[in-house]
Amino acid sequence: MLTLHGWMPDERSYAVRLAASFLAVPLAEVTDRRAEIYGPVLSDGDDVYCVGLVDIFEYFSRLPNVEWSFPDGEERTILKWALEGLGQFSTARRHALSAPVPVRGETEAVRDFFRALEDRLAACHLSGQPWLSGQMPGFIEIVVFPVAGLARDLGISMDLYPATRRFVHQLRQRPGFIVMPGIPSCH
Amino acid sequence: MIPVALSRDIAEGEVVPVRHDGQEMVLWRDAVGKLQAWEDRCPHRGVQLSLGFIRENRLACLYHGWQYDHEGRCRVIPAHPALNPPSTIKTHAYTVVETAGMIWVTMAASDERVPRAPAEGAWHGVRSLAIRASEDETRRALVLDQHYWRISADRLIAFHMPEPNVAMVHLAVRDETSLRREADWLLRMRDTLEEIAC
Repeated sequence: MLTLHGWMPDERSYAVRLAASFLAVPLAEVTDRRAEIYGPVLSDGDDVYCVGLVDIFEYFSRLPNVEWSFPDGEERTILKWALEGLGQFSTARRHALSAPVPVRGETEAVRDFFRALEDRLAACHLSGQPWLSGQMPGFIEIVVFPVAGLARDLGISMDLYPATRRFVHQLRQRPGFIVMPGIPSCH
Repeated sequence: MIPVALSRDIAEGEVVPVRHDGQEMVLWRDAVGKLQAWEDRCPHRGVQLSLGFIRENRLACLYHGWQYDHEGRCRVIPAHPALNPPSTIKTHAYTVVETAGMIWVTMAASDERVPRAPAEGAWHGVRSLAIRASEDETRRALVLDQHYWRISADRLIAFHMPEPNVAMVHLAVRDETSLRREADWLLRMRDTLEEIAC
């Protein structure tokens, strides 16, 4: 049985849980506060340790009966961009949530990421491609979703990002979708 | 009337915040596709209804779960399931019209004359795009004097102001085959306008 060493409010740990749920990969969870800083770690109890999202997703893609392939070529570039955005978002969100007084959480880098994400999603939609990964969601969507779903934590209003809002709505409808603190199940 | 979104950007069961000129609204589309536009404030505790969710074809507030039907009347108070909520508990509704591929809202009180929504006919929404520019700069760039929309050849271009220095520009076209080309045009316009605004 695979074990995720993660932290419940951490976006990257959530991304691993979400991917595992969509892919029907059984996953035990161990609370490890270090994941908030260093990211999630996956172990199989013996000698396999994957540190960080890239390693974990690569490992998932090699598992039997997993349909998602690890992004290649142009998609790999998009995945790298999405991971960078998630990292910037995580840093800004940790800063905002741990501040002793309310602060403006949205940084310039986060705003640029949201704009770029909105442009990419709108372009996909207009070209008849429902997801950034193609006709089906994949690891890119898993990386992007926590950023879009937790935007409110940084005071980002989704009325400026209709394509991103549509993306959130569509991914939530997929079988296997799970939630985390900040992404409620009622919506 | 103020154009606030493209019709296709609000799916059935979706709850969406909209801001214009300091006012906050919630738009939501019920299970049969009917759209509502209300003040974004629960009459109970003032929480934004746009944080809410749809249950049994009613908009439910996220805070205490009070549910409002399509007329804006409170129908369910979960903490008091046996209570029939009084009719005075009601949201403030705005007039909303869907035409030309866009959603138009009037802020006027419901008994005032409602301006006619423009541009009837078959239009296809291209996209709504946030542009970092003031209202004056946006009006100059779009060649708009008084209204929030105009038709130029095969384009219906409209905007509203969610923030003082952010314009949300909505574009619809008559030719469905030109959506990608028109989206590129809109992106170029954003880049040019933001460069000028800087």
